[in-house]
Amino acid sequence: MERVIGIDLGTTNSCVAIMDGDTPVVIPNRGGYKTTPSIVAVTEAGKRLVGHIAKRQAITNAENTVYAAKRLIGRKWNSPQVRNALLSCAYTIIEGPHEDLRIKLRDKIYSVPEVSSIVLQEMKIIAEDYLGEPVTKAVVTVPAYFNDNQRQATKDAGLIAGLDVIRIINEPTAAALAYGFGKGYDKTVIVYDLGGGTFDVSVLEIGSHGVFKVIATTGDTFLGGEDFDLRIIDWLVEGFLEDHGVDLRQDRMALQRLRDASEKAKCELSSVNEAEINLPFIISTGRNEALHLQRTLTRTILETLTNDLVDRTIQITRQAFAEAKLTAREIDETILVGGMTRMPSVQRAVAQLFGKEPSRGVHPDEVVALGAAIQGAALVEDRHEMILLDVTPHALGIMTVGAHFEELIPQNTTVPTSRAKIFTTSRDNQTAVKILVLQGESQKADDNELLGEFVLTGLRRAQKGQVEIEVTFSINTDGIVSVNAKDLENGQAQSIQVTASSGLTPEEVKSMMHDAAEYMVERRSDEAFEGVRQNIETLVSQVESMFPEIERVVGGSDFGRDALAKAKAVVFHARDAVVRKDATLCKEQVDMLERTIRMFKGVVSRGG
Amino acid sequence: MATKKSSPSNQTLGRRPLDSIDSLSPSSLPPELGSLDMRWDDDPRSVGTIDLLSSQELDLDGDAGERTTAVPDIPIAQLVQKTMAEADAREQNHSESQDFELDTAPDYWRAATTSNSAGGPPPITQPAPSREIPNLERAQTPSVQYGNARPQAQLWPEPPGASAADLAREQHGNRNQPPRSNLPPFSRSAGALRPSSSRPPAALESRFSAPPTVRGSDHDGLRHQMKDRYATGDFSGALQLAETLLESDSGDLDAQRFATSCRDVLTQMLTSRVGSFDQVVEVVLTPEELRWLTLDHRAGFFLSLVDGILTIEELLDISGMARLESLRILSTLIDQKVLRLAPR
Repeated sequence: MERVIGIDLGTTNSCVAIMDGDTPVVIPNRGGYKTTPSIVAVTEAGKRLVGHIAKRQAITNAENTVYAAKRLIGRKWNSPQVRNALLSCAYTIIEGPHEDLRIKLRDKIYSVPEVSSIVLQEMKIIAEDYLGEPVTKAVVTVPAYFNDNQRQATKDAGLIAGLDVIRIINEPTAAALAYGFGKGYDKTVIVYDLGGGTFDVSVLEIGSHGVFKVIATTGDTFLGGEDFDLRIIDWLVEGFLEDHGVDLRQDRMALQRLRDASEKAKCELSSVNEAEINLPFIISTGRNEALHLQRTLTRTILETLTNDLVDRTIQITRQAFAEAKLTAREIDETILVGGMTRMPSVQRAVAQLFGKEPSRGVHPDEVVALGAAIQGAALVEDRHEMILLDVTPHALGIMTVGAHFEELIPQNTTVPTSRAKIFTTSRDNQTAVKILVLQGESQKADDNELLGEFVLTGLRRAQKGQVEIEVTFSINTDGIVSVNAKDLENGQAQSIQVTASSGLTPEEVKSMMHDAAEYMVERRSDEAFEGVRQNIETLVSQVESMFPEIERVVGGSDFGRDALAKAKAVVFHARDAVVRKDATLCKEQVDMLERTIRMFKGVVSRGG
Repeated sequence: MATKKSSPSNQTLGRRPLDSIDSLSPSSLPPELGSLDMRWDDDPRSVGTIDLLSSQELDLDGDAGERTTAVPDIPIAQLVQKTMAEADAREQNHSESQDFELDTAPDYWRAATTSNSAGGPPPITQPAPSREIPNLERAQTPSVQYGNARPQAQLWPEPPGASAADLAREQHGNRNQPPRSNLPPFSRSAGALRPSSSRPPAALESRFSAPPTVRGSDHDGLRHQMKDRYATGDFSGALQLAETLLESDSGDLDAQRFATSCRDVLTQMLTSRVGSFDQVVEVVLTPEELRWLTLDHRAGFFLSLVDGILTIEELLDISGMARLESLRILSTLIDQKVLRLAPR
């Protein structure tokens, strides 16, 4: 049976997990890290960088480094989030051909799903390297607040990466799944997810019969670990300015080092009380000498610097359980998700809010990916007790007079479903109505996402309120929404089918899939060559180390001289094959080198 | 060549070891078999990938007396000193008289120009054709000295855009001297035939009417120095001067070409020095020892990226500096035994 991987596609970090027997496990990347930064960059030479290596040049190559692409995925060009990103992102965002947005890196234009697909592809590679077999199916997590377009864009990203995303699940649901996996809980839990770039808090009901229902979700998409890092950076920069009169913010290299060091110190302070920040040669003075930065950051200072950020998360959390119409005492358990929840002041604040310690049964960085892996295995193994039901992430409805939003299908309704409601005309002699299909929870239509619109014409001329129109919303198992409006008097009807759109056409997705597949072939070929190259290096060094001995034993004879010359020729050709990067030639040379070594060993054993 | 027959001792082993080697192409056999490239690694002429100028463009087939790079009878350092002294003398003469006299030129130059003027083509009057030059990133002047980044052999590319003879002509300011016929149009850089101490062309002068960083006369001096340094193989020095010129005028095609060529040669030289980019870079010194070094912040930044896992290639990718600059720093830190290389 094919393995399904679970991917937590995070704003700042991503994580991949798999079921190993009955236990979900996180797969470390090549560097041994269990999470990989969701950062993609293109170097000056046009090389693609992903993960930690991309993060390490994120400031020095800011214009060509995409971070937090998740904030933009599935968004429309004129959305407030994109407007905001235009002001704050160092990379170039341009308008796409379908009201979407594109990102320019060096001389190439990427769609946002394409950028996310690069991260997903990296996760796929990590899993394939670990499993030693191809992986094509995945369950990917998204924030609970993602709308259909954002979910579809995430699916497209998976497709481009060569993954069939068999299910998209909500991050808090995945966390709750990992928390409650096989325990038969019947609880109301709160998932407090403070990640690198976003803060999400969700209230869920876990049913003993395997139902995980999101009751309320809220958060701040611009609040996360990076804000804590920035406070440390500010503290360091201000201190340095006071001591030396030099503003380190003016130098990108200094800033890159400050950012790396700040994050490191912050992590250290979760387990120790003091962290040494030592950055020699951080800036040159112009007198051909460099200054060093050396400071000690204590946990107390860090907590003072970031106190207001923690307070903000607590306020948002209060808002979440108010929306769920619950009190803190009615929450049975708090699940902490995201690396930032390791910070003692965060844990204290959460414990104080709920009057009890948060759950320590889950790993904050891994829990979401683990939940996705559990769900993936349940789907392919047909374990119905573990299968999460597809629900509508947001309410669906239409706009009525006064720009109000009239809800037809509530949030979290299990699909497939169908709901109808009767409306009347709002003006005298009105012969047509415009139906605007919206998605969201706001009472104001403008605040919700417009999915589509159509006009129903041919209505009987009558006083307002006399003509009745039935509007029916249906969602099938594939998540396709159909909206039908019918004049109940004359039977005149009009309908629209709404499919979520990532902003990419099927042709574009296909073309991107092709590009991604080509990249994979190239990368795998490079890796294969690298393996052979290393083998050649080892064999060459072995052959060369035998030269003196061969020289001693048979160097005086014609045969010895001939053999040595031939062996040198083999070494020469092997190196040449490496330089040429010719995999076939390299393999041939490995064979030749091995024969040379066998021959040399034979000569030594006879001569010695 | 591996054509010797097996000796009796060989036959006593009872088999023909490595018999398949016999089928190898003789043209690519190792040095003792006559086909290995005997050139030095950092010999620029051994560089296959650098966009050096073609031999025709470089005027390699001209009279040896015209080329400072091919003077067999006196050491190159002496030649440079001599040329510079003569140039100084000429500058002095120019201040006294604007008219250039052929007699003041050095002997080797006079011989060359006399022979050329007899059958040379008419002077070129058209301006250098415009060519789209890629936006070049300028390497910053390193605070560490890289004086050893020079070729060991005395074979290096001639200055882009002009042969040494052309440079000499510029220094002499011989307006009557026609350019060599085999120079491609682009290499006849603007102002290549003007007297060194004369006013710059009107276009150049007007460009400098805005607050300049380099004055017109300094500009010419720098240009000559750049070309001299290039001709004598001081690519680092030539690059610095080219960048100084580009700071004044980023559209200076001549300086751009010199800068590009210098960067290419220096990059190749440093690449040869550090070896395979697949090697992992490791820090040798402890953090306490590092603090005693004299490094600038760029070297400090590069050092901070070294984690014992990343390869040279990866470090170059993430350093945020021009490749040449990163290689210079890496090479210097290896020389200073701050870093070492290890196989991946």
